[in-house]
Amino acid sequence: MIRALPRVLAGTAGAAMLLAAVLAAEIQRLDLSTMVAATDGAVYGKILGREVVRFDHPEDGQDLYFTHLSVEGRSLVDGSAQTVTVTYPGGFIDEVHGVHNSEAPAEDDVKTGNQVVVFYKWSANMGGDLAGNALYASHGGLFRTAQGGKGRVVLGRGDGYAVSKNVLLDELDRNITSIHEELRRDERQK
Amino acid sequence: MRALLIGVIAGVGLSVLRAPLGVELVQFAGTTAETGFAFRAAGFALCALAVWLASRKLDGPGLGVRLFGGLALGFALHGLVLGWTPASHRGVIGVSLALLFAAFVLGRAGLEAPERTPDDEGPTRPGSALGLALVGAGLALLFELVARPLRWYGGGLPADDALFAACLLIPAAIGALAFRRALASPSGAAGGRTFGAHGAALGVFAGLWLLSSFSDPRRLKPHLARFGVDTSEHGTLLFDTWIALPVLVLAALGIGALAAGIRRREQWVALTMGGFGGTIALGRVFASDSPFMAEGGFEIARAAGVLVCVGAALHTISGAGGGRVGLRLLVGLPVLGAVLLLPLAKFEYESSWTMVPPQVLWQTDTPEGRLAVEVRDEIAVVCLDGRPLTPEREQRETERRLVHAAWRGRPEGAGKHVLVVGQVDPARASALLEVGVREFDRCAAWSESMRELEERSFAWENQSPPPGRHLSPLEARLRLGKQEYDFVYAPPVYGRAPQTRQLGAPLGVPAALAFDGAAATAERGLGPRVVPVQTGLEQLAVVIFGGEHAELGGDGVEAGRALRPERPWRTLARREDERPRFERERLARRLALANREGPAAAETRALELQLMSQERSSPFETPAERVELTREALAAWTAAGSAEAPSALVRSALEDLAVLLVSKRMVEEALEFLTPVADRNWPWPALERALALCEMELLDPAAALERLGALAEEGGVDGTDWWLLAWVQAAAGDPAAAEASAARARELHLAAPEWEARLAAELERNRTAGPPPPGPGGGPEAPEDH
Repeated sequence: MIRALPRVLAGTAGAAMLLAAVLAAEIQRLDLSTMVAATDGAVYGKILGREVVRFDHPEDGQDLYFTHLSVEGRSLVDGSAQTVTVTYPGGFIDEVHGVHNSEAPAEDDVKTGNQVVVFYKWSANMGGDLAGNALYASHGGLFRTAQGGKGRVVLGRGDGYAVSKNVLLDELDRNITSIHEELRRDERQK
Repeated sequence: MRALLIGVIAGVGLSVLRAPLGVELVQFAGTTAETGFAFRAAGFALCALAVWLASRKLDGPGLGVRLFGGLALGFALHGLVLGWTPASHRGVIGVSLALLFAAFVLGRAGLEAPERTPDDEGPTRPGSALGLALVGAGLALLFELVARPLRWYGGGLPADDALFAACLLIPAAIGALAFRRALASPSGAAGGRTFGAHGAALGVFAGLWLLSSFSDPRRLKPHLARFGVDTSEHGTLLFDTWIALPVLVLAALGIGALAAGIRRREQWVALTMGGFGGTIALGRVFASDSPFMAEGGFEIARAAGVLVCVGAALHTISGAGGGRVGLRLLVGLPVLGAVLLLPLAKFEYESSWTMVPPQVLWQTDTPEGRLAVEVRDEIAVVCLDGRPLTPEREQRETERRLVHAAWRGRPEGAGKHVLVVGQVDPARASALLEVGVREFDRCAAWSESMRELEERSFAWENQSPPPGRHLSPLEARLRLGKQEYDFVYAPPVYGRAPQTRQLGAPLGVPAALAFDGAAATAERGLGPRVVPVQTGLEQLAVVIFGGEHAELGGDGVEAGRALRPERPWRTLARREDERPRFERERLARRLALANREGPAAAETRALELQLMSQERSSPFETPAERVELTREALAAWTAAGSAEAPSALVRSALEDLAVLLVSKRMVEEALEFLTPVADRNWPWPALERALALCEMELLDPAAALERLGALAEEGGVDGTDWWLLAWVQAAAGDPAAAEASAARARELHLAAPEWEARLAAELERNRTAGPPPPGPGGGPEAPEDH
């Protein structure tokens, strides 16, 4: 363990402010229904890899860092095979250049090979005119899974998160599908 | 060229003759000021002797430039590039004699006695030499006054001190070269010596003012930013350089002019012997009962400045070099006025490079430096020049384990009369109490302040220090000689690796010395065996047993050979927060290499893999998240844990691993890598507990119950594990058993409101809807102690 340096906190603060601006600066209490309603999709799959990018923007500032996470699996909405790249602010391109983000998923969460559930929402501008599928609620949109005797279990993150308690993946899958269908019915009725 | 090489030899000698930490057992935790000054004075004496032994053929214009240039080069070469220090007193003496011999050969071989040249100013008169000696003494005092606060801004390593000195010597050498032509004539050289001395003295005063301004972060940060340096780079090469260079540059130019004016050997000898005398005098100036210590020693600046002015005047009056004697005396008057009348810089010991400076409960200036009791992470830590003498919060568990390891390794019956070498705080006292040591003497270089430091640090935690005497190193040495102790324990000096010049205490008293793995311990001679102690699969420390009892320590592994010292400049090039990882890796690698063929091969290999896999962490990660656990390291720990009788190191590592895997929610890995070890060494409650929590994470309370039930039948459930068992039983749909287990926990007076609430919620859910799935953290919101 090496504690990161105060130097990067300036960048972290900047990234956090940017994220707040993009996401309307709101700490959102979620449950599964709210999450499904707010997002464009949910995928269960394997993390294939990670890429951190850095760029400058004339208005949003210099040294903007974002992490792209590639997840290959299936949609928990309709079951279709899907490979999605989800993005969140922060990350390091090498030992020295990058920025930490207090809201980003922990390193343990985003290891290549992890089987995870991700919730994402398309954003035309995540910051610096970067468009893509934003990992919704940053670390709150990613949940690790583990294989047990009863099946694959999605590890809940506690009260206030979309998946608050541990739940079997199959059950979560059914719940998400059900919530999605209900939302579509409501939309049609409108 | 010869003069240059003699200067190099002198510079190397000056750097070698710096008192290392651990110069003797009773100075393991800190070097006394007297010892430090004695070493430095010896360095000055060597500089003088090296030149005094040389032939007069070397005399002439530019002698001082060559000598000083060589001195700067030699000092920087040894202090920043070689970094090697003799590991024994004999080694120091041997190196010093070898250097002097080399200087003698260089200074004499093939050189005939010179003829007097028209330019020759003649032998140095006694008054002139005395004047230069006074200048040397005054400058030695003045530069110590700069060195003390400058050290505050450094990282506390010998490399930092070497860099600070180089920031004076190298610009001075450059200055001497620049002034060489202008001061080539005898009168010019005389002027250079006089004005250079004045300039150096005034330069120190100006430097102290600049240094005092750095106490304010609003001054420090812009100053560093000018050179592209950030305050987070504290303790690195660039940070140290851009603090020291501006502070010392004016004084350095003065020294350069002084050096450029040296034309004869006896002038050099007089100057350096003056430095010798001044350094010896420092021992009195910075004595604890000195009136100057009340102001941190800074009041001595005036006296030192006067000494320089008087010495320069005496040197001038003695007619050395001829020229404008009257002008040189006249210039000395305003300088004298300045040193007497200018307000002295008031130096505030503020950690202006930190984001949030620590709260200081108490502080005092001592000959050894600034001692303070600071609050760091809500505990009181005793610090010397900002560096901790007692463990910080994350080191307390390591401290406890080291005491236990040291205690286990002591000879049978020893430990009734214990001497602790170092500062005692509540954590150390508590660890000693755990092994049954209730009363003990302690010694340290700052013995006069130890009682006050203890009272302050213990009071912060509403405790009282344990009984025992507070001894100076001298008193401790005498009592050891009288066999008043049967065991000596030297706690680690965090961030520093003391030398081990005297592994055995006098007359063979058993001694256990602890070393912090986050310091350059891998470079030390550690005897034949060490006892490694790990904490949290992240921290590493070792205990060695001294002297003729070096075979003590049942949990020991082969220590292996000391690694080659890292170049000091490379250490400084590395950021401070990266050094612990680097050093722990090196130590683990050394142990793995030494034990690869022996019975400790598996555990040392696991330790090496574990520490090699650590990376920089986000400040927003939890303590568990910051520790990396690779599959390779996990497999190695499993292999080590599958041995016939796991050692204390392996047991502690696997128990810490179990806690980490649960905290990090690495459920699959926990089941994969801990289960074989748990099965082989059943019953092992810590592992069973972790595996049960993982099974609860996987929504399998039945499996968790089977595991804990078997443990309970074996009598392996104890303490708060009764609450865990109760919760698992409730989750598995057995409320009656859950109530019984909870009752057992309450009988043990294990108050746990969180467990009570969780159990109540689980039982209520059972009553209404049947056993529900658990939630996060090893089941729903498992309390922190699991």
